[in-house]
Amino acid sequence: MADLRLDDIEQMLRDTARRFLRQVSVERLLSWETSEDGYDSDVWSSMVGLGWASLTQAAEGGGGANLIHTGIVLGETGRAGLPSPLFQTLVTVLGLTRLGGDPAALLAERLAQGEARAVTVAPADPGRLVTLTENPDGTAVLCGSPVLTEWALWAQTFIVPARVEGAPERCALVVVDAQAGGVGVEEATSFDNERIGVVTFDRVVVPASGVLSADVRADDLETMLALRDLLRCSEMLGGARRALELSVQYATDRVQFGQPLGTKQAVQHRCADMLIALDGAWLATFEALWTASTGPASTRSIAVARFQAARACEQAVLGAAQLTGAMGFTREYPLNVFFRRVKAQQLRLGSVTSQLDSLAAEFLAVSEGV
Amino acid sequence: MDFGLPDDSRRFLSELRSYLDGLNLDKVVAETLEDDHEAGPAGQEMLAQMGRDGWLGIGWPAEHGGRGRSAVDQWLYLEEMAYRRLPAGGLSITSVGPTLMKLGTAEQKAEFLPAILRAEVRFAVGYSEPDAGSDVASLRTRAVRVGDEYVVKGQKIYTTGAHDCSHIWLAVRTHPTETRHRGLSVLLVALDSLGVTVQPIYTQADTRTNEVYFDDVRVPVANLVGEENEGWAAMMVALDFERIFVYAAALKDFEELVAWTRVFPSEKSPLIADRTVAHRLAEMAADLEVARLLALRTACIIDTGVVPTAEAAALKVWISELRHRIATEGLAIVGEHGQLKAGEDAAPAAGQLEHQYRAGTVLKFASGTNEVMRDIIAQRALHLPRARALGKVYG
Ligand SMILES: Cc1cc2nc3c(=O)[nH]c(=O)nc-3n(C[C@H](O)[C@H](O)[C@H](O)COP(=O)(O)OP(=O)(O)OC[C@H]3O[C@@H](n4cnc5c(N)ncnc54)[C@H](O)[C@@H]3O)c2cc1C
Repeated sequence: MADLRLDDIEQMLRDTARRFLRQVSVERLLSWETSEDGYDSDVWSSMVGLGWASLTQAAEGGGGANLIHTGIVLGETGRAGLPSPLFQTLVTVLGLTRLGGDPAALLAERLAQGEARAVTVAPADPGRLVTLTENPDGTAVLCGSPVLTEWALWAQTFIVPARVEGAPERCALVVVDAQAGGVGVEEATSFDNERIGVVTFDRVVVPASGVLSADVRADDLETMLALRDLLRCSEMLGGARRALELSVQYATDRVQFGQPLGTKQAVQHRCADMLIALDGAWLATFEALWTASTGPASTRSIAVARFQAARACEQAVLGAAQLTGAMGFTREYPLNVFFRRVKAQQLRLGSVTSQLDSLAAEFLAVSEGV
Repeated sequence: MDFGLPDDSRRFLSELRSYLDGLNLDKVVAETLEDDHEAGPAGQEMLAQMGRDGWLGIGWPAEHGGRGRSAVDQWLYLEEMAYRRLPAGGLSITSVGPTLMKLGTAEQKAEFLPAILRAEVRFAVGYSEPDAGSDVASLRTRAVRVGDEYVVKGQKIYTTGAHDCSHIWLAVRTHPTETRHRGLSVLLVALDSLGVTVQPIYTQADTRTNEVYFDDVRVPVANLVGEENEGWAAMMVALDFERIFVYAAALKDFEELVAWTRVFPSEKSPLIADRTVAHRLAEMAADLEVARLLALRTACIIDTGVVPTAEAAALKVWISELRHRIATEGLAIVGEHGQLKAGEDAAPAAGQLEHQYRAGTVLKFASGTNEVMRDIIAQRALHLPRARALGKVYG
């Protein structure tokens, strides 16, 4: 029977996450943002201890990962505004599990246990992936223009999905040491509280053992990157939901003209529209997560979720910025964290043009970039 | 969370599809294209046939001749009918019947329920009055009890279908002094009763609705639904059964629009090849998916035995605004040829864009205006504070 409520386990997972993340205050968020590392390693260890970094590992018995559970936890870290390598770790574990072979599974296990630090280096636009040139002796060479990569400076290892030179339908999954010759990692500052690096591969020689898989189908890789977007949507939606909660709180507490501002219909209707849009995007996101957990992922559902979440989350933070007035504009009030994060996350999904192109390709059978 | 449809629902849907495939429904579709608020003669004939074949009352329990299926199945049924541009029996089936099952007397159930399923009894809904629109609790039509009859006096307006329905589900004021929500009652009134006058009101969509006058109309007390002066509760129960709004009619409009953009102005260089056009269509497609999910969510909530309030309001706002937007933006995409009226051969998308442009504003203010829906969402789901009571202003 279809049932769109969280089941008991899902609810427990959400409640546990929410309880754990209560320690994330706006003061701590701001102090992490200006700190050296950009995150709290104790909080991170606890998250690993809670099993969150292993959520995208394939289930025992060969089943796929439970992406609904992953989406729920990311929704909560998003709602807390927490900067951490969790999202990158989950995506990397997922990519290793789905696309790599046995050696990849070993690495995935170490990431999931917090014993190694690796991030995925892949731009939002699959057309701009790094290129791998294969040598006859089994080694290969990676080349690519700079890729904006979250938590690049934190990572010891890069997992790189790459196009194979001369084989348009074939892709590869490559593991590269962050210190390897030809690998460039530069710090860059984004306007939210995540940490960004710019990664460049300048004729990086990869030993045969570094090529985890050399015959990934291009479609499977694109689906994997679409799943990354989908997980990002769930985190972004958590942040946008928090912006709505803050708006409602403010409108309830703030008295002007002798009444709480929340009694005004203009305020109520704006909040209602934010909720409708967020619920719609949330349902689209979780339907796509559910589909990918129970069978082959649907790129069509993901295209819908990406577009809806990108639009709804922006609507929510812009609404919140209006509804909370000057207070919402200050550093001490938490809204600014979500206002910045949600937009930056939306941008990491790629341009609205590319989102509409993929919807058009899915629903109208018109090729991208007509 | 489970977004999957059970096998049993899929089987049900495919049975329904093959049943409908076997009927000749061209005339019914043509009627719907002209007026999708109300079934025409061919539509009524189809409904009677479906009633005989056991295809009405999908959600009705077996003891009342229905199939006792889930709200999700009922929703699938309504979507299938809407997608094929077929009437589905309207409020008599989805709302009046189920309300009678809950509040009606044994005699009322025996008299009305089988007749509704045979499509012999069809109810118009008499809530709105000239001075009671969005604020329906201010209605003034009076019913005074005289012996075992009520004597009804007053006027209803926008009573759709009153000219060819058999009965009216009539909200009246029975208490002499109570105001607003208190002192109302619901009566089941035969429209051929002495003293009922129905006059047409024609609309910008070329459809008909009505004004209905009640001039000392005598209604047996046996036709009171629930308790006297507790009519508001009956109206709310009826409303609760009216929460599944379908999206497939909008989907069909959209698909016809897309088909048009593939061949216009020519197949070689169609509108859809323009990236701006494709993007506007793509956005509608994504919004239709959300409409489907909001509808599925509402049906699922009903299946858990809970009445969806804010969720149904969200669905209603989304679907009504989307359907009208598809028509309005669709015409903007079409451009000059969009001005051609439904019925013209060269009218784009079977004329449904311009027709819905004219007809589709109604859903945004009827069945609870979207402004009130947003109030409900803000107050029930987000718990924003209500404004101070207006006291006697409405008195
Ligand atoms: C084609 C058609 C068929 C209909 N069929 C039926 C029928 O079969 N039976 C029946 O009983 N009625 C029927 N109606 C009437 C329908 O239910 C009313 O139109 C509806 O209740 C709104 O009332 P109103 O049109 O008088 O609008 P008004 O009450 O005058 O409202 C006008 C507008 O004011 C705004 N507004 C209203 N309330 C609020 C608020 N609280 N906050 C902010 N803004 C607000 C909204 O934008 C609203 O749309 C039909 C109407 C049409 C056009």
